[in-house]
Amino acid sequence: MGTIKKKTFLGDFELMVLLAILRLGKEAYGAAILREIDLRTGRSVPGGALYITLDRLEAKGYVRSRLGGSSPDRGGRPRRFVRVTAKGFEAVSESREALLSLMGGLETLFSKP
Amino acid sequence: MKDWRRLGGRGDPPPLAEALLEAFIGDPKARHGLAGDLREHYAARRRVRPGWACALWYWRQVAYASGRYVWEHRVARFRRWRRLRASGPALNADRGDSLMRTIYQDFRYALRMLRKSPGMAAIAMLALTLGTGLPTIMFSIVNGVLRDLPFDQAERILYLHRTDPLRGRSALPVSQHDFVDWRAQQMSFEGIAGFSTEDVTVSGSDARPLRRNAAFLTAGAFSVLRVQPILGREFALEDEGTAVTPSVIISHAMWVNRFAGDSSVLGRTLVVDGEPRTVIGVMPEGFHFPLNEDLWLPLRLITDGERGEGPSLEMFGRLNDGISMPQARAELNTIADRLAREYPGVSEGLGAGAMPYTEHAMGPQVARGLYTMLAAVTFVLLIACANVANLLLARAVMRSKEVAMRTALGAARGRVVFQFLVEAFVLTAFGGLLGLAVAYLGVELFNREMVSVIGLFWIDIKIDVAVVLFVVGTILAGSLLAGILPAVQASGTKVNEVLKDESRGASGMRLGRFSKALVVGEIALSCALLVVSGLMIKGVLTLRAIDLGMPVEEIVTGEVELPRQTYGPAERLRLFEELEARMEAIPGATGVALMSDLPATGGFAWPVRIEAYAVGAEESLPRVGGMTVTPNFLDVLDARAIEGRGFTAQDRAGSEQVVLVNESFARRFFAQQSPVGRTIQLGQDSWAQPLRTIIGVVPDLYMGSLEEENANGPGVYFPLAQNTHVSMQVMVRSGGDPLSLVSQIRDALEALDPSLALMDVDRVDRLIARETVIFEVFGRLFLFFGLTALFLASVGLYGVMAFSVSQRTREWGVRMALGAKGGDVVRLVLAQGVRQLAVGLGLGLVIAGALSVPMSDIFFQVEPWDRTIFAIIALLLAATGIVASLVPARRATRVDPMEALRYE
Repeated sequence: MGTIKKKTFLGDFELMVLLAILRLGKEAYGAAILREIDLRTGRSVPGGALYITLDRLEAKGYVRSRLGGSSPDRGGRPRRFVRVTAKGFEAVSESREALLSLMGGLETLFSKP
Repeated sequence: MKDWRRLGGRGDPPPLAEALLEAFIGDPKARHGLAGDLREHYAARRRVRPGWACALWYWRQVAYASGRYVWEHRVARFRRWRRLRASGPALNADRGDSLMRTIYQDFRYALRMLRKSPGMAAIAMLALTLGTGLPTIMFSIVNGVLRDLPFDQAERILYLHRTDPLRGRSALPVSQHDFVDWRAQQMSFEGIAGFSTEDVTVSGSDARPLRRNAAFLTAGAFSVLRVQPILGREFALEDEGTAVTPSVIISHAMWVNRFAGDSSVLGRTLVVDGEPRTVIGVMPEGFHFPLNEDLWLPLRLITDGERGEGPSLEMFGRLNDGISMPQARAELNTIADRLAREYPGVSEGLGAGAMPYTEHAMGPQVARGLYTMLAAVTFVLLIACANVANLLLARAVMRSKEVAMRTALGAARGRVVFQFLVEAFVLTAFGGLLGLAVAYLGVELFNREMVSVIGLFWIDIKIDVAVVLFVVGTILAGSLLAGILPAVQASGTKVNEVLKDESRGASGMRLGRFSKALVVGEIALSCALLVVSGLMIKGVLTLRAIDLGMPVEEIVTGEVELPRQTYGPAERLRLFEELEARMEAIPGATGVALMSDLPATGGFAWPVRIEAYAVGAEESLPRVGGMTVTPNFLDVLDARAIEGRGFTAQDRAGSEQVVLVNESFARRFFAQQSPVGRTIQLGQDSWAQPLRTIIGVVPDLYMGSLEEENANGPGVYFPLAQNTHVSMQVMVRSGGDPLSLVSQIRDALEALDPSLALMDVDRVDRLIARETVIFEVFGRLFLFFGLTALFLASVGLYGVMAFSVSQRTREWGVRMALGAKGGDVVRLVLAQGVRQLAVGLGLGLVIAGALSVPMSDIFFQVEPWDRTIFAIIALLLAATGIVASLVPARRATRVDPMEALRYE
């Protein structure tokens, strides 16, 4: 039996996280990502969930993270800044293309009357 | 400003939650990032939402994150790994035997083993639940009572006092002159301040007048504590003089209750003991220094009089950095010596001392007593651990084949030991969590009972971080204690011998000396704990058996205290007599009297000089109790004069000075003769009372407090008309519920003077019970502790005996086949049990003796070496122990020899 190359797509939340990181650019760190997702989608996510996802994305090589500057609000704890890697960016664009192609022709369904 | 309360700072999330979060997340990147993010969110929420909601939110976040992390990094990874392994061994080759996976496997194995023997797991867990829960209750109490003051660097706050080494007295108050000199001359302290406490009546504004605890403070007292008013200012040096308008600082509670938390309270007027005072400050919530005060008034130093005269005060100070307590003590003594030389005759021979403030407020024996109790209760944990160790040991014996097999196949000894420890840990951890719940309940119950008695504001008995850490410590120590013996025992066996042994699962390995030693230890510890509990319970029973012989449950009482400034002796008498007359008119009141003290709660002890009763030196005048009463008091208490007459309305200030004595008094000082008609003089020197004639003898009506050695000691009664007091207890007796008369009593008082308050209103029996509630509560607590210990020890003994009997089944069979009778076998088994029992009991009685002495403060009229209790406990344990070994012994006799020989 030959091996079938399985193409995996990003999960819904993973995609959101990656997009939020891309939007934030240099300012992307935990709390900011949560705020961005909350602001854009109205979805309030527990901090633990975001971190699990970040860990997973990092393990897959989609993001890189480093510890950076702190502020008094954080009780002296450093921020975990993340950026999307080339591989991550590729995954996002693959997902985007897949979604767009599936949505092609359905615009009338979604357009508001 | 530094937040003076350690918990609940504004911007910080709950510290325990944060600590948990950090403990659960191993990866530093995730840990720091997440903890910081949560802090950031928390701070943002805190600005718009109430604190509890934010704390709740934070806890939810922590619970979610910890759960997800544990799942993701332990469980899910393991599943993935197993999937990989299932798809082919080669994939797994590089993964090795990582520590995490080893631990995980051991946990799973432990859980599986426990599931396989649910009975044993349940018993062990019950034992450990009690074993961690009960010490945790006691630890919460100790931790809550022996707290430091809730101030910044409170451990540097010392109580400063005079000592009188010649008379062997310590912790004496300081005269105002001394205070001024000490304050000016000392260098060891950042600052020192003086205080004195008093009860005051607060009236003014429109609410009912209230009695409150107040403290008079010298300037800068709050700065010494490092607590500042949340509104206004503290007392300055000018306030110590008489030139400025009288001021007052109020507690947060009083601010909220009396002024509805109005921020414009500063400058308003509060009438304290009839004197209008300006409110100049409000203290933070929860602050009631020195003991439990609600008002602070400036202490006016009166130093123009003769040195050493005038009211004295108590003193505290904050040590300078780098100065130790002995150094400070030495300096104070140097100053004291200098003062003694400067003013000979005033403070000669007096020294000075310093001790931690809370130690002084609590009394030094309390800490010792509490720690001893904690040590005693820890025995429950040790007993529980011994039990579990024995269970595991028994299992280790049964599993010795398995262990030998593992060793033979190359398992390192450490691996085997670790596996046993993990098993013990799993048991203890479950037990500890349940124990925490038990402790929570215990603390709730304890607080409910003790709420009326705790009079120190910083005492706060609750499950806090320290208690949780204690439980964690207990779990770790417990799993080591319970796991290490079985682990070492099992892993140390000689592999060849065990494998050669013909039986299938278990081996012939005996429960060794370890197990016997454990049982001996269990018996000893439970014996000690039971003796201590027994002593306490005997005290409770003694206390309950006291029959006061007075209808105290039919009487309602309350205290009325008249301000000295506005009430002279004549006005006092007039008010009290009018009050009595008005209360007599209350429908339902069957008897009314006024007494200076309640019966059975103690009072002042007067030195007395008695006609025809010679005493040698001035110092050795006998002391007797004294109470001031109105003539009706005998009726209200259901008593009558045994000899002579009681007081009447004709005993006035101008008439003959009279006194009643009680039976003990008559017996002690007049033996066979009648005291009636004799004269006595109370007090001595400057405060000697006029000569008084004894006009009658009354029964003993508990002059002293129940706590005293002799609550029914000698005592005298004065008529109020001849010895006016500023403070009296009203006593109103009713056939029905006496408490229903309270509002009418209040109305009667208000009609006479609306600025007076009735305080500490309750039924007399309940107020008397409040004096001794501490004995009751600790008695009940230790009854529970003791019974738990007895239960655990007997289960332990039974378990070990039963197991060792079953292990020797073959031996019994052989013996019986060779002609041994059932009785011989029973005797053989019993002998082993009795030997352990005897050694354990002997040790236990010695430990009990060592424990009961420091705990004797909490025994109600029971000697720490009460032989009856020691004997009862020894018999009780012996009986339990014999039953526990008799049951397995009888089982041994039922062994069928043929069966036994085939037995594997």
